[in-house]
Amino acid sequence: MSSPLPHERRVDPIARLVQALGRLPGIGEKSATRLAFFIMRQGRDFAQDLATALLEATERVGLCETCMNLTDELQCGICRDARRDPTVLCVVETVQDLRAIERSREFAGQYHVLHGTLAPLEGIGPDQLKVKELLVRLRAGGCEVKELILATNPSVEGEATALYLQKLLTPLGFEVTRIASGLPIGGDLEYADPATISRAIAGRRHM
Amino acid sequence: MRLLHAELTDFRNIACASLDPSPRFTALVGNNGQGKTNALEALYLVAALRPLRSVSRRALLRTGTELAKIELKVERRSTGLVHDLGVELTPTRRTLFKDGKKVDAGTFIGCAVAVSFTPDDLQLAKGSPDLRRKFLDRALLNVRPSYLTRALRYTKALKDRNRVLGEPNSDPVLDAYDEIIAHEGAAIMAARVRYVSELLPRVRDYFERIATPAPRLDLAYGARLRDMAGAEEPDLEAAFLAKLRARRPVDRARRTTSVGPHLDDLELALDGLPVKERASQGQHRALVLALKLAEITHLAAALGEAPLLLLDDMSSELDAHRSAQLFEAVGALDGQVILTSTEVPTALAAADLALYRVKAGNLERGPAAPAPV
Ligand SMILES: Nc1ncnc2c1ncn2[C@@H]1O[C@H](COP(=O)(O)OP(=O)(O)OP(=O)(O)O)[C@@H](O)[C@H]1O
Ligand SMILES: [Mg+2]
Ligand SMILES: [Zn+2]
Repeated sequence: MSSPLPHERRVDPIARLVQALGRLPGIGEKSATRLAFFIMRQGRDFAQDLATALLEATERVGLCETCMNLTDELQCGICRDARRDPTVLCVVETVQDLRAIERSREFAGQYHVLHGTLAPLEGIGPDQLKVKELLVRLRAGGCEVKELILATNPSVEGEATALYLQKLLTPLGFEVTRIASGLPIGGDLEYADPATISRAIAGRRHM
Repeated sequence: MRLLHAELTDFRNIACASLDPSPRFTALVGNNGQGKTNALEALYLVAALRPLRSVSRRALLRTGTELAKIELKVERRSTGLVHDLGVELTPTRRTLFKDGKKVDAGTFIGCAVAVSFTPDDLQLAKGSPDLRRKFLDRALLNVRPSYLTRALRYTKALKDRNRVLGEPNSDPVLDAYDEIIAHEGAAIMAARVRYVSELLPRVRDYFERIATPAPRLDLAYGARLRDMAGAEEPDLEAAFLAKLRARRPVDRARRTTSVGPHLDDLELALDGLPVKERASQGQHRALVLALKLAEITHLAAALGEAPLLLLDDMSSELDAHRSAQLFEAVGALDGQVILTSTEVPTALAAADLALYRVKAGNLERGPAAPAPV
């Protein structure tokens, strides 16, 4: 008969799984419980696959030495792609934003990922972002970048970060541009919020 | 805007209540401390996304509960559309629903339009500038819903700037925040300046009718950037930016931003002298009444329909004469009014009146007129 040793704390494995899943962003206890029972139903192979995927991703993936994208090599696929335009650099807040732009296949230049925005109340200033890395990259011999597109979000944080970079980069002789903001093409004017409409009207252009 | 139906759950002392208001007047009647103002506050919260009285979110949840709900069915006369609006509050979160879908504040604001008039407003003319800024902000939110996002962005950037002021070698980061503050702040100032100029003739008109004899009344938007008030938005932005730069050393020492719309005032004068120094008690009251009536009629003109009016306990705060003037002006608007009172209002025709008795957080519909004996 196997009973637990007297000093060994018994942890319910399912409770532990629920707790671990519950640490994921956007996952409350209810969702964590649902996911845990889903995993239990799938069985061992599924769990093994998931565990391996998690470990491999975290052990093997790091930051691209050039653009700070996530990659499992020294340089990411975008930086290694010789067909991409080395004269235009798109600066984004996060890897997710980079991926969103890539999905559109509208941009054929290079990227730089800041990994955040200015956030004074959380103690995040330029030194906590990948700004130094950007400057090193732009100053390196053989750097062909002429234009930087600031593609941070229109939030106060994103806007402050873009303004900061603009003031930093323009004196260095780069052309600095900001992505436009306004109404979503897929959306209906009727459902757009007043602030977006106000911004779109302020940013109207001649036809 | 017309309120067709309201359901309240665990809001303040109200566990569960429903309201089917009259298209004209609905009176919530009860003794002190029963929940009349609470019911009014729930309705106001859906329109303004802030409570009538500034309190913590916790205080809005009924003691011992974790989720408050306010659900309204409203009709916009200008479009003929009926919308379901919902606000759910937990100790940490506010969730907004429009027609069953979760939406953000920017989309939600402006769907219901209400103006409140509470005993706190009676301090408007002689109280601190903060009250008059709030008056302008609440009024502008109704007229231009995009004002909310501006105000939120301004406040956020201001908090960030104040934090950065205390950090060494932070001039480049401050340069960035100064631009955002100047941009949003100039838009806020321009909107307020314009609003005050539109309000002035209406306030004067009401004041002359209410206060007899009436001294000459002036209102002006008082900006600390005094030379800039009245300027156009782009000039205002440049001037504000220059001022922020100039004030930076002082602001660094105090770690707070010493110029901007967060410090401005709506200046009121009688015969050229500040109202605070000049006005009698009665003139203060008359002025507040004139300001609120001007706000309401201006808004009705801007919307093309009367807003929902929420009057808290006004009959006990105003004398019979003033009270009659208020109801006469409000009645002329042909809009919907929800009021609270400790007594059944006698000045209103029973046919137009829905009556609810409020007792210990319960709302019970009663006959408008006492049953004949
Ligand atoms: N979060 C809450 N949970 C339970 N009760 C609350 C809560 N907040 C306020 N109350 C109670 O609500 C009552 C006050 O209600 P309200 O301000 O609506 O009164 P009223 O009917 O307007 O009275 P008056 O005529 O004095 O203005 C008080 O008894 C107060 O204790
Ligand atoms: Mg009350
Ligand atoms: Zn890369």
